Amino acid sequence: MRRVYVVLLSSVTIAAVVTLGAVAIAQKWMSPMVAQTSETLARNYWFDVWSPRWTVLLLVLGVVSIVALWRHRVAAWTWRSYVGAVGCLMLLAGAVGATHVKRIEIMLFKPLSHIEHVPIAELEYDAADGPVMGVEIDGEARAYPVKVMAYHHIANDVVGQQPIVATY
Amino acid sequence: MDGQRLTFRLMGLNNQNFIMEDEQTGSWWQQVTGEAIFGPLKGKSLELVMSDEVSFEIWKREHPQSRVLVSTAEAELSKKNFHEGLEAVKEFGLPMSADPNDVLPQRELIVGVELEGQSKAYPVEVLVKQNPVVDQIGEVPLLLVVARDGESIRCFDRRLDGATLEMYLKPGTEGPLVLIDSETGSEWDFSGRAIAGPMAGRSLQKIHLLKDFWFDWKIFHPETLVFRAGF
Repeated sequence: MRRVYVVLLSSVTIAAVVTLGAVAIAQKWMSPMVAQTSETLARNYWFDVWSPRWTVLLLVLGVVSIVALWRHRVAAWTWRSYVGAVGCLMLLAGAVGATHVKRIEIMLFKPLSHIEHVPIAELEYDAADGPVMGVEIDGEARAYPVKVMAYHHIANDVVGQQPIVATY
Repeated sequence: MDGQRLTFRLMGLNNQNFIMEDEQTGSWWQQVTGEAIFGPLKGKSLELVMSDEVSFEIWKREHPQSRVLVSTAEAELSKKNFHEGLEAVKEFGLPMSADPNDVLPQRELIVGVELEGQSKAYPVEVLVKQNPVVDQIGEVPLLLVVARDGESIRCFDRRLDGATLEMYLKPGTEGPLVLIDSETGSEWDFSGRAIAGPMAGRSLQKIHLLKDFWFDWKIFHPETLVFRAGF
């Protein structure tokens, strides 16, 4: 009976540390408006590599805790049961947080869902629309309006049979 | 990259320059340099494809068969006058504090050229005033031309058949800009092709340039030189 609360308490502590850590890292090192150094970038990368592992760890702990709570349930819910249940939820929330916190910054940007192009002759263009980025590879020419690129930033495309990435 | 086809997405920002991640290896790539900075492909560089940032009219005139990326609903929603948008971006704050002794303001528009391990920044304002600019980076004599729109800029190697050409703007012309070289008197258009005179049909070799804000160019090219106005 005692052991289940040790398991729960340690799980909740790990979940809290990971979740708070994730938020702190996102705030301190990943925010778009933070000046970066090679050290903060290295930490960002490390965090990115580790976040799926944190997720798995927290999910496993969450499931173990729920099972433990269930097996040692008593007829009437005590305050300990409520703490345990909240702890399980925190673990699952922490798992979601660990996976997604690195995406907070990225959520500001909307990738192009697909690449579609039309012949230039079909387009009417206004000078106020601004310039285009143009490439020509093996006689095939492609233009990327800067306005579109300034919104989506990345276009993975194939021009003249060569895979390219256009980025602004 | 080494026979593997990579697909990129945005991963984050490094001092206002994007970090891209490839979906295949998870490596992180710096947008402005094309270099992998973390992950399995760290140290590798993407090959830079020659590209242009020019007005729609110029691109259409030179590439009537070109295809154009279709705009999206989201991009259209954010649509405003491009030039007003650019002016607004210039007002955005930066996370890096400005160096009071810096030669240019952080958000000054420049074009950067990197050749033979040397880099040089040309303030757009100076290029427009002094159009065309003849200069040199390392051993390579350069020509920088601004089209009539004051925005489309190209850079060329001005050597041809062992001779180095000096270029001037043909005065008083209507329509597209024309340059004249003092060696042969040939006329050249904005695409770097001789359209009249002894050199007609010949082309100068284009050199890659990047239109960028000064702060961004400087972070990723710390040794860069800056072209100063000659007046």
